[in-house]
Amino acid sequence: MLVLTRKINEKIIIGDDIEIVLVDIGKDQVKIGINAPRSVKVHRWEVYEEIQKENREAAKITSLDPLKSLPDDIMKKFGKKDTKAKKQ
Amino acid sequence: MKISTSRFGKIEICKDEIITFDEGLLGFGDYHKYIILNADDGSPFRWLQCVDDGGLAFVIIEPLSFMFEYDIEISDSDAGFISLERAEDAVLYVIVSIPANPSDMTANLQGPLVINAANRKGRQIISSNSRHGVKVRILDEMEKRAVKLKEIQDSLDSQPEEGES
Repeated sequence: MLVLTRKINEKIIIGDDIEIVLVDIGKDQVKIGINAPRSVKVHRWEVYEEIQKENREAAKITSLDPLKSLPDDIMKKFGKKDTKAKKQ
Repeated sequence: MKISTSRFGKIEICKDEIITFDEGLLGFGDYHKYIILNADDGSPFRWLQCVDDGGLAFVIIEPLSFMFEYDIEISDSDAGFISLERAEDAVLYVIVSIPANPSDMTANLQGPLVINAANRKGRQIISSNSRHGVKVRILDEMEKRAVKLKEIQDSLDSQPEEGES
């Protein structure tokens, strides 16, 4: 891993178009600014990882049959987007 | 065209129905083409069936079929990625997980799928709304919605009728 030492407001460039700037340094955290093209996704690692994990778990579902064991009244409550309160 | 799937056998699909996720879903970056299949029981659940790999599919649902409201901000960068120009072209789905006890099924509100109906391009985006978790219990949200709808109904009932004699 490449480790660079930077001061506040100093930058790092990755490739031709990804720019990282050290915005602020606190006691136990740093604030980083990132300029990158739209095609480059930038996310906090934890969130990215959590959604990946959730996707992998969701991909294991092979059938909706387990939902049949739910009480009928629950299934009926779905999808009633037009259930708006109406004046009689 | 026909595709073979592990869940539904061979199915006939129309090329125009294909939705392209240029970068795939998170963790599934190699799979780009999907179609949406309705569940056969008339429920609001749908299958996002991968066309590139018949063994890959996700259960998805429109958030407003179980939530009272679902506010999401689509960033310029996400909108640009799928060339989304008009908000009304955005179709939102969330991915569902169903554990052993199906009443504990959850929706991933933090990583919704946004599909541009105008060009059938999609992207899994990451919500910046801190109230959107990855495992939100669907039945809890339905319960909350029922309470809200009741509040609205009650407040309307307690108001005098207007414009009628």
